[in-house]
Amino acid sequence: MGKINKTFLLFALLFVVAVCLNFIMGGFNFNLAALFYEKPGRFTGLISPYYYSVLILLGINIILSVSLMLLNGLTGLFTMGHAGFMAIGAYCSASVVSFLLPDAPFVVQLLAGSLSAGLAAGLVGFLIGTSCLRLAGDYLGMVTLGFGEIIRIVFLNIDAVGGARGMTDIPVYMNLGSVFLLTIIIILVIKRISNGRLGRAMLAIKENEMAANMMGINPLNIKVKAFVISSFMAGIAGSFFAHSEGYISTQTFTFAKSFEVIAMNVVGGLGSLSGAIMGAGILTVLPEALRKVQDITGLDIRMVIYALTMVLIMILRPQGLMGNREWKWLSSK
Amino acid sequence: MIMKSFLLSVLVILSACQNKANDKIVIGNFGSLTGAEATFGISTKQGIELAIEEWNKAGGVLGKQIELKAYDNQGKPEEARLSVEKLINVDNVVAVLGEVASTRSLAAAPVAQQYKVPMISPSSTNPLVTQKGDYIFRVCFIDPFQGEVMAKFAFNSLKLKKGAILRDSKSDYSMGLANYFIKTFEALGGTIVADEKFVSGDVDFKAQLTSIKNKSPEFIFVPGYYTEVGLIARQAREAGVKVPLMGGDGWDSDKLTEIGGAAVEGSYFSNHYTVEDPRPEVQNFIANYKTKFGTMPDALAASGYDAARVLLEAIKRANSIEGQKLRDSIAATKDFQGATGIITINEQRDATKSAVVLKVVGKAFKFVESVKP
Repeated sequence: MGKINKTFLLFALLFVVAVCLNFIMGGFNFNLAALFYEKPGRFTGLISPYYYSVLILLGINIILSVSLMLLNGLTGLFTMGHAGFMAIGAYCSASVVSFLLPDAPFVVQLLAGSLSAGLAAGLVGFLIGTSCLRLAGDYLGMVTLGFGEIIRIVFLNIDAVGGARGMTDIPVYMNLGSVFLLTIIIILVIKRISNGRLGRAMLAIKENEMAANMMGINPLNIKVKAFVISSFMAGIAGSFFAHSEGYISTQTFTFAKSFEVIAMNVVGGLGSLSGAIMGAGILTVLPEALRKVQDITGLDIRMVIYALTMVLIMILRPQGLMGNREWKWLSSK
Repeated sequence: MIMKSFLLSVLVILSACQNKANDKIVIGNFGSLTGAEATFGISTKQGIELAIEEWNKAGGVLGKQIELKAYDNQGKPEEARLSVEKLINVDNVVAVLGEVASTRSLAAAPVAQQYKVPMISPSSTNPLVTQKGDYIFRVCFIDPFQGEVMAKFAFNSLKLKKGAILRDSKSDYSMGLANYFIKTFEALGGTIVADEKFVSGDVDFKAQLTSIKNKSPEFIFVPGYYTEVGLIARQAREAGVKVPLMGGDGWDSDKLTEIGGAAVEGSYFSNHYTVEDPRPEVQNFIANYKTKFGTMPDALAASGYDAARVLLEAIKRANSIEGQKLRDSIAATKDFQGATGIITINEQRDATKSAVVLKVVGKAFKFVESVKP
């Protein structure tokens, strides 16, 4: 890589960091930044409701991203239907909580919603996994893409959950604290898995399936396990999404959402847990942070900058921001 | 060192360009400015921009200039919600204008309701949208209303007394239109001699048409979409039914005359807006829009224009930008001369307003008249 390239990359990344920093600093009510970054808003709490919503979305995207990392990065199964599992989780949890437990206490709703979402998505993940894991590479990608769309179309045609209009009046119980806590738990669970026996087996399958088989690993068994764990977590993310938005429609769960999650993985570095978290962070915060640029330019060019950032990252760091490395607190050593 | 100074300079630039506390009245707009439905959002935003520009030229409102904050949501419901959160909590807008698609209005409406900031949807037609709370309004009519319009048009303007219905039993839209049509038409003193049904996707309507023909109605009301309507029209003429057909905005497509050919000639349907409407509000809007943007405005631009003007008019009448007062003032909107018709907000916070009736002449849709609710 040439010297100019490196400087350029540095500047581009610094710009991104500056925009994100600016954004994050503006969200707090108590610090000095609020004096000159934002006019006093309508909020009186610690964090403005807008930033609060962005942070919740960030947590959900991190869960999606790390759960996909388990499949794409660790086991090397290229799937493109993650939005489908998220949709199952969202609709399942929304139905369970709003039809069966509308007035239950918070803890009951949270447990019932998340567990039912995870189990439903995990079950579908198991069915899809067992039926199409004999496929490999691009073919698996195509099939999972198809499944993701089928799941979406099925929900589009169920009138009980709103059909094309979307499902409204879902109880909103998720708060930043619980999303934050559960995101950390899920990250730690994935860290445990990836550093344990199962994770090593997954890695072995990714590197060389035949060699792994020779070592006594049953590839199909491990792949199905990866599929089920990943879809279970995507389902939980869907549940959090439904109960923090209060409204879901099939427009959210298109294949564009699946690609967004893949992009988070790729930007951060395929196969790196820290990368998946970092990618989710950048791709969630950047589009919102770039809204400020509109104040300067007067034009909405945030999608241009957003796309340029991704192109630059891919040109200058094709292996992703983290590559294969991990942050210290997530590394196995 | 270079890094640090660069970082600092970027921060300074960004913070320097923040919106300072200004003496402008800020109005928010959220829409799909990018993505698959980008034309919807852009048209609406341009309509709003035009309305604000006109008001600003005339001195603004409450002695202040008006500023528009427009955010893109890429056609995603969750981004629609986020952008409304930002408009309300960070940009301190007095009211929110949006969205075109009912799904995104439904996602954002609870936020506006929570903070008691009035929200006016220019063109979400799903009845559920304004039921989200008493701060949510719309300036378009909801679907069933067109049934009323066509019933009045058939009875009062065409002086027809005997009608037949041919409706799509699987579509909420079609059933709603037909129900309201029958209710209004019979209340006016007309009679419905036949009520036949089909299912969208059918291609053969001869049985229903023969049965209708035997009752010899003076017109047939077909509230469906253009594909079926075109086929129905063809088969009706083959079966010897000569009376005119009528319908709603589901007919509004070039495909109608393509499929129906000469068979749809002389039929009538209701729509939101037409560029041929001779009222000065419409013609001025079209002329100004063309000067500013260089294209013909579509119905969505006209709806956006009306939503912004209803809001500004309400601010002026309320003499305040305080949420509660502004809400009451919007709710009191009566006989507002908009580009898409004369708008009155009813107690469901939906607009009751005149619709336009168009006649199929050759390949074109000619303006016949606008029908008041």
